[in-house]
Amino acid sequence: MNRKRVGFFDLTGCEGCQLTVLNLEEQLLDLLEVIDLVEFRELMQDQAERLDIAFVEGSVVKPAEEERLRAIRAKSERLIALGACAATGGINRLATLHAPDHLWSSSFGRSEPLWEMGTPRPLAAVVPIDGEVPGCPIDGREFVSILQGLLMGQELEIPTFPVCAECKLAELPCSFEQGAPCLGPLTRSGCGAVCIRGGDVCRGCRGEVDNPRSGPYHRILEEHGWQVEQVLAELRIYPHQADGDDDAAAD
Amino acid sequence: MRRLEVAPLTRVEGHGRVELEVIEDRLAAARVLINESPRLFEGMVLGRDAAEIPSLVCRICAICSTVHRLAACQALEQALGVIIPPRAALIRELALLGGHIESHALHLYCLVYPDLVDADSVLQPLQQGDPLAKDGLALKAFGNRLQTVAGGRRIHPINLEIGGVLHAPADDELAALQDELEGWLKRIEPLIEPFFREDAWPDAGPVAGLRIAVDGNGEFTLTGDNLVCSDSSMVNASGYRDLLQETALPDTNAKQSRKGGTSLLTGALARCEFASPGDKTTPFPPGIHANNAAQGLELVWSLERAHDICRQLRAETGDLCSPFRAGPGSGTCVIEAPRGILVHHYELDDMGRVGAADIITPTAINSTAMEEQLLADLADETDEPTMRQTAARIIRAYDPCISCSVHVLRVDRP
Repeated sequence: MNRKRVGFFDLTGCEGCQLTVLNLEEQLLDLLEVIDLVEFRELMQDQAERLDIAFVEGSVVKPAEEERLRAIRAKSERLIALGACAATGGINRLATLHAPDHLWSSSFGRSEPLWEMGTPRPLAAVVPIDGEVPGCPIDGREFVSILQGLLMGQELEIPTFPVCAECKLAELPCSFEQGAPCLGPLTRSGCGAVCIRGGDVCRGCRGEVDNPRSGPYHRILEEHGWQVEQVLAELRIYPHQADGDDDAAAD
Repeated sequence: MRRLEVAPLTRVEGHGRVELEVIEDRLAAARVLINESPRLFEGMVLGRDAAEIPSLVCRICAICSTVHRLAACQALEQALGVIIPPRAALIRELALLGGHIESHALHLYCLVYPDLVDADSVLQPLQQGDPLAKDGLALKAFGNRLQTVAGGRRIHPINLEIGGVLHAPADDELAALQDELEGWLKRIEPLIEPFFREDAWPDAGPVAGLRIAVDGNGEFTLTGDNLVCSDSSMVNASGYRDLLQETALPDTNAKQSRKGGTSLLTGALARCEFASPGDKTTPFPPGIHANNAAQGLELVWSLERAHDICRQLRAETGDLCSPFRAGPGSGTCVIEAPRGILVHHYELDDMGRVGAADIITPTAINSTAMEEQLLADLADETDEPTMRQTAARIIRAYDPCISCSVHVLRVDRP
């Protein structure tokens, strides 16, 4: 059998999506029976010349990362954004809410930038991509099923219904009824409503579901006495979709 | 003068490289450089409600997400004057130990072990059915199981919030963990033995750096109120700045710490030296690989402590979360991440929003000691390929986490 050559790459992020892949543990060993793992810096020293599938984690921040991403794109048949930072810019986009000199002085005690760097952007703002594995971090089971589909030459498919549906199926209590605002009605499912199951609310890490129904959502907010501004202030952590626009805040 | 580069550093967390300056075949200078993009987290949290901070800052680093989240919770609880229920403290410690076990097992078996068996990656010994690699991976999976049961998820936990925890593990889950912990405690000795072998690594001189750790009063601990230093000084968490004196370096995207010009060493070896060793210890191997033996010893301690906590938790029925009100205050938490001391400090305004934040990570603290160690251990080496290989192996022994040594992100705005 002709095994697909698969590689993992990381730009700016926490490496949690690659760690989710490493955390597949036993299952990862089974996967290695059907793929040819050709590049994975955290785990091995090799570098590959050609890839069938490249999974790229993290946002594009430095000019050198832009170059690196273009090079990965050029040598890869399919390029998949691995996780929120790669797919939408993720939590890195929060930096767009602050003036740069303020950010620098808060972290390094001086307002002039120390290094050349651009606005954090999702991969799609730099190169065309062939799909995404959503989430912060990604869901290991979803990753395996997406990889299986890719190995069989299928188009990458992710759920098109909101987290709210999974939450209802799991018969979890509604966050709004517990007095907390939640992004479940607008966010792409596939996580099994893991945060709500754990007692938290949905913070929208998987990005916006296709065709979100904002009318009913506004009614829910109104019914429970929440203002849109309040919800934005508390839950504006993840961008809702890929947007490389430099001054578009994560709203 | 010639400049040798070890880049990129592989089998470490994050992007980094080592630069070696060689004059007349001898190493004259060594620098550990961080290539990660700064992410400016301390700026990103400004103006945000305290309640959001734990889930936000755990995204600094995946492998340490549990300890980052706990550090934020504890610092903010101090700022808001919140005392958490004892049951919540136990559940949190279980999550913390899970992260410790997972990270140490990942480092020892997936990242260091290949050096011991001359392999490029752990995949080779695994595919050859090496039982140690296989059991090491199973131990890593078990650490993840502890994090999942206590923290709600392996990476970026959900259960740990200001005031305590959101839910308690069920009794049958705790009973199952107790059984598994007993199993691991019976199997652990041979699993850590290879890292204690004196002949496993080339001979090396003493380990550089003043030792620094969260004070456990002579016992193994990951949490506490004070920082202790091997020059006999001790400071309360709130005085961390005096001890660490962190500076931003112009040519590396990270900050370094040193005390009055002396390098500092934090991590498993420092912790083990402060904790009373008990009768389980065999002598550590010479040089910085003692840190890897110390990680092994901590695996045993962590399993024992986790077992004790599961037993205690099964008898606990108290509250899980203390209520709190948003308001002003400032708080500092010092805590032990798997690779060393982590400091989180926050100042809240009258509305309970973050006005200032300071986060200091262990790899930033260790970087000066790493450079000193390279200079000392490579002083007699003249062969360049060996120099590169040894430098990479020495850096790896510290279990650096380069993604966390950088907590910053720059933005261009029109």
